[in-house]
Amino acid sequence: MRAIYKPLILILLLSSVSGCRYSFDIEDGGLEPCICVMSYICADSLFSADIYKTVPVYLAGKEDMDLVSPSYSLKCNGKEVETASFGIADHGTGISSAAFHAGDELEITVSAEGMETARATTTVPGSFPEHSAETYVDEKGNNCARIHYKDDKNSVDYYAVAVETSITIQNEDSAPLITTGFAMPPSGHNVTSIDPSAYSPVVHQFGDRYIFIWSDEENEDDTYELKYLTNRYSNVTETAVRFHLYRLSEEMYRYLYAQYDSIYNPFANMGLSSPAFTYSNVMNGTGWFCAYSVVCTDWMKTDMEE
Amino acid sequence: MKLLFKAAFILLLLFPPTYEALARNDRSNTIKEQMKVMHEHFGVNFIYDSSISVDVPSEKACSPGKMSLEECLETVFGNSGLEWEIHRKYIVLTRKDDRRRPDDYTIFIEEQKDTIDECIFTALTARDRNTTQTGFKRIDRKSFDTGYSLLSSPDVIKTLQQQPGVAGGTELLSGLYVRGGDGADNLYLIDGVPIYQTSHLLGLFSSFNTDVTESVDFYKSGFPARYGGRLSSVVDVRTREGDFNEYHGSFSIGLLDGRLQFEGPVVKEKTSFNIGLRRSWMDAITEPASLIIRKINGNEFRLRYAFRDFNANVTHRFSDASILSFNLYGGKDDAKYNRTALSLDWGNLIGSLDWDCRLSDIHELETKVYFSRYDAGFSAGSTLSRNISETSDLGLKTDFSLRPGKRHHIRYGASFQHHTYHPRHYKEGKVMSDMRQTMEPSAYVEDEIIVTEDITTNVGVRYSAIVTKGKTYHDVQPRAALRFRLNDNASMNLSYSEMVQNDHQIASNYLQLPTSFWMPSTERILPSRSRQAAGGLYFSLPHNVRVNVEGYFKTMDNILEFRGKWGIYPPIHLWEDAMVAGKGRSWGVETEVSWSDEKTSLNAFYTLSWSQRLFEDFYPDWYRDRNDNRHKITLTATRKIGRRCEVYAGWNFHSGNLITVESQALAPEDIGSWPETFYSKPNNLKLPDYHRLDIGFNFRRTTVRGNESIWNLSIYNAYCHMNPILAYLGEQYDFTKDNLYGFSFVGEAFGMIPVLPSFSYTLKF
Repeated sequence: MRAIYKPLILILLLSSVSGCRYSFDIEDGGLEPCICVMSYICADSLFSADIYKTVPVYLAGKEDMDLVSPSYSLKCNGKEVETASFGIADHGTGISSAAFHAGDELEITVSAEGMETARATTTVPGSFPEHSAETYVDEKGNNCARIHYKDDKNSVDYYAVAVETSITIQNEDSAPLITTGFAMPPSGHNVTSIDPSAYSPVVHQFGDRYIFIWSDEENEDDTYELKYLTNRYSNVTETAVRFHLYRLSEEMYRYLYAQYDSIYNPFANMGLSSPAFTYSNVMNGTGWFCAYSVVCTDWMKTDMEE
Repeated sequence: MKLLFKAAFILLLLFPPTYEALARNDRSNTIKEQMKVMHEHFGVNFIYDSSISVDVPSEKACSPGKMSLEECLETVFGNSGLEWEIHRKYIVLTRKDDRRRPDDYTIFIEEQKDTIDECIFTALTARDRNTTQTGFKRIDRKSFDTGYSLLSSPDVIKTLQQQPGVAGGTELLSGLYVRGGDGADNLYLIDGVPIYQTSHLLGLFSSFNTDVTESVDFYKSGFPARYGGRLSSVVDVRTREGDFNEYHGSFSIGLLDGRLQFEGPVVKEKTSFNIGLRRSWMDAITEPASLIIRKINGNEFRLRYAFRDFNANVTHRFSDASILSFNLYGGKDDAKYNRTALSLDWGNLIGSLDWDCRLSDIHELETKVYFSRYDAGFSAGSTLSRNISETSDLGLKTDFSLRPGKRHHIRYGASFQHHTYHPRHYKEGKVMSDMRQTMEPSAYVEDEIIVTEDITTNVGVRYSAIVTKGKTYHDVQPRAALRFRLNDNASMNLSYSEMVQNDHQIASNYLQLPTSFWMPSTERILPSRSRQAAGGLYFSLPHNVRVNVEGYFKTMDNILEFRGKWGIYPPIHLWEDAMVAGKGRSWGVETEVSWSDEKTSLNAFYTLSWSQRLFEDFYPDWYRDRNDNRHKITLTATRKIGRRCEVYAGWNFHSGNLITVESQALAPEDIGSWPETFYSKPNNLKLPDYHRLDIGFNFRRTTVRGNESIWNLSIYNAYCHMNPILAYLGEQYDFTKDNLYGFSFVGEAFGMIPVLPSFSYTLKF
């Protein structure tokens, strides 16, 4: 009898210091299918929106993904507008319409059999305010830029900027090669740093580019400073940069901010943090329905990095 | 005949001790005399109701030189119809058949002298049933001596977590989410002074040392007007003053910590002291282990964690009508992991000077001046970069109690607090900080009115203000409570209260890390407010059964959530931007059934509740709070086995907490490719239900010197149910025939707390 005490105590001690991971059923979690609306509406450009059916993740791949008897309604300033719909890949439906302009209040309603009607609204913002831009290289060798703009102090406004670079490469015995692309934040920018002064911009991949996002509540002096990274090449003869300046609707700002949070917040998706990253302006559904406007600066030559 | 006389004479000669024994019995043949013998030999005093007669013959005599105290007591009282209990140097006698005595009384010895003829009982019975307040629970220190104690250390907050209407949050941590609260909206007081950080070891232990705790008043609703400053609950911890006549204390060694408590007179019957110390052992293991690893690997590895705290009280009685006391509390935690240069430290320092004065037979005054300071430091990655936050209060508080007649008990008072909030960041000699100072005056008046024999009411109002940079907020908070006595065994209570909270905890996560800091309301961050209506029915049924049923509805405005983006440490310079304001609401029904006799106590709590949030900043409709546990059940049983053993068992169950996951999926593009996923709403996935069984044993002995020793053995989570600490949505390949695309999603939970046995040894001297 005594012989079993020691291993029993050992097992008890070991079990008291171990943890374990296990799977649990998510099917009784109260999740239901809902409609997904995906639409970035650019002012003065053709309107388009993609509509999908989403299902709880445990039904993905097991259930029919087509919306049954769908109907769509798009309104501008309270009036119904004409739309065209067409099938798109992955069981989705595309909707298109004429362009909308600054100040237009848009509302989309999507319903389908057996699902709650989804609804979303947004307002097309005006253009980016009067601005100027400059570039420089800081003492640590980072490419930097300052965007000066005349913010309207009477309203809360949301902005973004994408940095497009142009690099001219001259190789021997060949014509000059110009390569353009969109810059991203410098590598190593510490999004989770404990240092409040660490450079940690809100950045989101938007199509083929990265956009740096801010609101005038965070930036009271009407100047946005950013750092960006460019690819290094040999035999560079000229570099230039231009800025795509966005003015975002509130819905777009909140959605992109939430996306950033869900990616970089170490406590998100584990139940240990505020659920602010779940933002969607689609009621009874998911996705995004948001508007923006964009202007582009001229190309500016920059100092070449050594 | 001659033979008979010879035999009797021989017997008498051979057994002379018989003479003495008989003579002794004649002289000490009453229970009272036997008590005197025990008093002289063991130094114990006896306490008993005056209706108990001790001038009755004792069937047997005790022999102190040959018997222990327990054996003597059993010998004298075994067949006397009396029961005895040892409380340090006091033996409490009660009648065996006295079933009228409730088990929740508290005995204050008002007058004690070294004689068995002059002891006075004062008992407060069933305070929580005879009050006008709803949602009130008093826990006295006797409750902490039961068999249950987490890791063999009794804990105030772990005890409160078992109460109906209270969610504990993350497993094993000291979260207190009361009726839909968010954990940072509980007013914790030590002797009337607010304390900001209430946990050690990330919440495994609370800051309250039960060795020096006299009582804990816990309010969930029906808050008296004298309390204010937080939305959801009041935890009013009172520490004991020291013994004015004798020195005694206790010493305890447990698996994770050790405790020492000592009290006694400085000047007999005039001045007393009481000191409690507590320290953890973990660094005794991790430091040598780290040294060995450093020597073997030649690196700078170091892993260390330690906490310690102390409580001190000095009380001086100028007279029965004037008492001055000084209270001090200090606690400190520090953790280091040099691999990543991670360093955390946090602690509280609290001090107060109290003067209780009886102005007249009907008028009393309690004045207090105090300070409370909480500071925390955090650095990671580099010792040149460090975050520090300090929160400190200076306060002056005066409370009056006036009884102008039999039907009125008026309380009124005022207080003034000066708050300083100072989070800052140091890096390479530079400082970034945001220091705020506020002033918070308040005043209140309440009157407990006996309207009729069956109706008692408590009506009051509290005014508070906060003067913050550029803004002053004024708030008036009505409080009302009503008690209807339906009959001798039943009553009904109703209450309505509004509470305002002027300071806010800025935290990026729910882990109660010391990386959070406190900041006041500002021009942009408004004070939070709660409104709660509650009502209850309270029954005393035959056979010592009590049944309470209480319902509530509560709303909260301007509560805060962290917006996100930043990592572990919220931004100091942009903290107002980092928080968003919203609303909360909760409602539910709480049921308590309890039964007890001299040896056994059974309790069953059931809560059915809902808790929701509305933060339009990120979701346009009401959504479930993460602690929206629909059902909560707590079953506890305590049993005394003989005089030396107590056993405790408690089973806790609640519906799973909620987390937020990307719960919605699009159709995948191809077989074998993962679909794009989206969030549907906050807190959209319920975790598995939580349940665990705790068992505890206390083995009591009396040492030869009459001291009490206790061995405690506790088993936390006795059947090893791995309740999730964190969870997420996992993906896995699934090539079953039902699955067209070859993958599936599952919930993945991580549980860290298996069965936890522990033990401790306590000596009371």
